[in-house]
Amino acid sequence: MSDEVVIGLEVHVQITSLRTKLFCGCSSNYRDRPPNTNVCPVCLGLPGVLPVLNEKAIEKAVAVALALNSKISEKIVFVRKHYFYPDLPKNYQISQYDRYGLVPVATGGRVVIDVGGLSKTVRIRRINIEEDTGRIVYPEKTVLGSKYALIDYNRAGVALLEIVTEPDFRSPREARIFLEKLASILEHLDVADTSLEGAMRADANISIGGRARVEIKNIGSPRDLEKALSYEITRQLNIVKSGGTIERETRHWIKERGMTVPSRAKELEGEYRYFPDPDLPPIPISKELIERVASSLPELPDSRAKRIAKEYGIGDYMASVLVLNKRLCDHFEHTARTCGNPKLISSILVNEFLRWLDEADIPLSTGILRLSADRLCKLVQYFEKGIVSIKLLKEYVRLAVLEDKDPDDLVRQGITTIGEEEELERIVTEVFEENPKAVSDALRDPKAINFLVGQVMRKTKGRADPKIVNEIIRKRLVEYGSK
Amino acid sequence: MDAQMDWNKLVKHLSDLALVDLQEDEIEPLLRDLEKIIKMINAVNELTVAEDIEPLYTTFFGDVNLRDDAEVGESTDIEKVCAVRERIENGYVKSPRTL
Amino acid sequence: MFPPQCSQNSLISSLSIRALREKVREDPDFLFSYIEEIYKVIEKHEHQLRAYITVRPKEEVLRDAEALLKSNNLGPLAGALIAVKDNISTSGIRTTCASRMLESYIPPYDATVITRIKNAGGIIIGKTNMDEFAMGSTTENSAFYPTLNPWDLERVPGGSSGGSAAAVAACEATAALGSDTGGSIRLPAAYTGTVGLKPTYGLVSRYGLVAYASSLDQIGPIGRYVEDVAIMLEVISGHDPKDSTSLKVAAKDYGSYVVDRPIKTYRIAVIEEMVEEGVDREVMAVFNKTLERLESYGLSVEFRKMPIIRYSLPVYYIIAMAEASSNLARYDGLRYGLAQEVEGRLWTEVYKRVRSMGFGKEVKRRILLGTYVLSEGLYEGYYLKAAKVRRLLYEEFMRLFKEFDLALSPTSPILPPRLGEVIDDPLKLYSLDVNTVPINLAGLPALSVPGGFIRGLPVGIQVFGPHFSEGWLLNVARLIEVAGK
Ligand SMILES: [Zn+2]
Repeated sequence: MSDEVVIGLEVHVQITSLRTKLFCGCSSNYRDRPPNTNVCPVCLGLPGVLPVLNEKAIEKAVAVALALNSKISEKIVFVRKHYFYPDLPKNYQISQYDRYGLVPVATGGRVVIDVGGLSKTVRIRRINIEEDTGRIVYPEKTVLGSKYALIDYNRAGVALLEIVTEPDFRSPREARIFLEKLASILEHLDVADTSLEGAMRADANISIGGRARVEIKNIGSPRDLEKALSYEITRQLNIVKSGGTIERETRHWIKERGMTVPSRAKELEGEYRYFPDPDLPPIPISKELIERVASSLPELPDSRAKRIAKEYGIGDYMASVLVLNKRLCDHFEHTARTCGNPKLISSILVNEFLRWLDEADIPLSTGILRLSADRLCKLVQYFEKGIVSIKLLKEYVRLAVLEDKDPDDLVRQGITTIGEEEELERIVTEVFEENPKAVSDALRDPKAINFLVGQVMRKTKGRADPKIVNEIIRKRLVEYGSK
Repeated sequence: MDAQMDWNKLVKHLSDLALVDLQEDEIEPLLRDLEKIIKMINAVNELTVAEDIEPLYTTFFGDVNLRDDAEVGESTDIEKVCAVRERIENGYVKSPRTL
Repeated sequence: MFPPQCSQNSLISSLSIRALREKVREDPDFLFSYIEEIYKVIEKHEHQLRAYITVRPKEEVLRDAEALLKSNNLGPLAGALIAVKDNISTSGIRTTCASRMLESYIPPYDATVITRIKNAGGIIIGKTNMDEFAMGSTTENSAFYPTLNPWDLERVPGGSSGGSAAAVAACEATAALGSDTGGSIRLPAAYTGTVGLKPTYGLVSRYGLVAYASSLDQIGPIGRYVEDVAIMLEVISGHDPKDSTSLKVAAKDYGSYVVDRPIKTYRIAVIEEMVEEGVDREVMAVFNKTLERLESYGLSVEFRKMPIIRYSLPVYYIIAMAEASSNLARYDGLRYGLAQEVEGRLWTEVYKRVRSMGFGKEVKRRILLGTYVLSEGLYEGYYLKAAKVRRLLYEEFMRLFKEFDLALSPTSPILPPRLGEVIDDPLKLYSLDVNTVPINLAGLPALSVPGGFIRGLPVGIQVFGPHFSEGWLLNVARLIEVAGK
């Protein structure tokens, strides 16, 4: 049995750019409000109330469908999806469905992602418009420790888009890149601010080597998606290795513990009793609306990548990574325009900045505050003037991102590259005297030079420019050799 | 619906789905009635309907009302809308355990 | 003709909306004596009739009257005391749907129809009894008590808007609001000798009507006179942005149709299946006499077959029960309605307990059956199939109304049943609605108007027509009303 990994995603995105909820006039910005103060008879599902669709939601859904190359349905058909749960005020969710002649807002579509320089097409299955639920909290912080639960309905009724992919991913990395790309598309479209807590949630289906499919719920970010899937693959392979079998089940990703756990098996899962919502007859999506939205679509990640690659001469790969995040790309363009050297800036952002953010799980917005355009420009200048080497520059980026250190302060503290040749000559002499064997090795084998360079770098605590050190050592070796 | 249908099992399944329990004295008459009613509604199966007939889900044929994306100021505190004070704790609605 | 509860000593209690309005405009203080008179009837008869679930205290109503007179808002309903079915949301007034589930529920908002009635100068006098969540045809399914028929206290007033119809018939209110999903306005109107109208689907806002079967429900008026129903309809109809299924049509002057001559040489159809088997001979006699009278106005009457109409009951029950099971899912006791201790208990257990205690037998039956017809694997055979047959039925009606302007039938195949007579047999109970449910399935307007009496019991005639034909229906109803006098 092969161990091919097959992953599909169901992504829920709040249309945070809407001012109000999907079917009532309550604010869609429920964050930071006292519990249950952003509610009305409609979103609380009081007896006798009726939903009235937010017209703007249609435009947003159409924009997303166009951006994902999906086929837009002729009409919007809402259905009721039934399940009981305390966070669901009507005990049914107004959603969409794709059987019995009912249609979601859009079907099909594709997103092209760049996986380590190779492009890959991910197929979209469908896009639904639906309403969000309320939130459950526990008085004793944990589910098990609490005698009861507490519900906040402020979020209930917020507009969501559900975007479902075909099972086209073969690795956690691919799934992550897709989710980043999708988030970026939504940001470019001004549909959602995916950086807001809970604004983008993913459920993943994973099956390894054709074994049972496991669904993982409650994944809150691209980073967590990759982690959850990697965890799940290891977990499943360990079970298989020890002779066990994989059960078809639903698991929950617990971010804090970095693991997936079985979620309480819902006996009656799948019995959603869909039928068209009689309170919301079908709403035609006019050709005019589609044309209007299409003609005002903003620049999207793919065309932006092409443009910036050309405009800044930074190479397709760099460009494809930068456009995975609208704010990052904005940051890049702004900085590059202000202080030039786009190649260096893109390389800093893609290779260093993102790495540290990911490692320390720092939000991009915080990262951008720390490695501001201003600081980035200064770094570029220090590098160009030879005050910091490329190696030190990387260290500066690390300190800025992780510790909010200002490059100016670091320079003031004297953490700079040793550019004075005399000083370096002196240190090289020291190293040669301390390592005669290494010197003779290097005379025979030029590859052994690296050891000597390393020794110099150690003595200078990394402040030397390795390129210059290399040159000095080579020159000195030639002198030695001729002796 | 075949005659072998286990009515008790069906009723149990439905009452789990709908979260409606039946009192002891309700079950017998309900089973009796259910069979009658299901027979009555099964009459639609006598009728052959062409494949291409569009189902009619509503008799509303006008333009569906839509709403501007504007707050209307009707949103308020839950205590003013519905919940009774005893059911509220620090602004939250109290709910039974979910696990 | 009114039942004994009305007008023993004076004609005040049976005043029409227009007569009351004119008197109040002439002499505002008359309103206070009118209110006193109506409360006298209530005090005398309500303990027997039990038309209401909540009667507002007289003092409160008198205060409303004072405020009304002060505001000088003497609109079309000036001073009219309107009884409202207890499934229509009234801000600050308990709205129970005749269910234990909502026994103490006080809504924070007014249904759109309530706002309109108040704006037109009407005063809400109370909330009327009904079958629980409007599921029933006799008002015996109220969780609290059955309402009796004012014409014969051993009989039912029909349902589910039985309380509204009985209150109006017995002069315990000027007029009333009911709701009609499969005949719930027309059947009680027929059984109580009142006039009840179910409007075209979408003509009257459903915002605030506690949903039973959303694609079939409509609010409509019940009155003692055709004219009262016309005035009420004019007040409550018209576009409402809070209801996605509210039609964008201008309000009509329905009163102008209430004249004693036909404003058009109507071509009237009688669907044979609606007068064939199951219809009581005496009811048929009244019906035939009505046809003769209409013919005497020079109107034509022709019989037509419409075999598909026989499927109306199964189609209706599949759709209504499915939608009901969905609409009633929200009653879980968390935010409003019947509450249960939650601490230390599992949510499914608490939900089940609340819903088992809160819902009555018929409601549970329909929730379970609705769940059944929507469940995986059965959907296509029931709900989808029913929706397709509904289309066929609808198209048949459209064809009929290309050839005819209106159609007539007996509202109910039988006279008002005695209490307990049909309640224990669901099929018998459901068959009371055999002539009324097809109308809701097609979204058509229909009304019931008294066509005559048999041994002191009223017989209702159903008049129905194409969408938006309310004016014609009222005109023909007026002709029938005049003939009955
Ligand atoms: Zn709301």
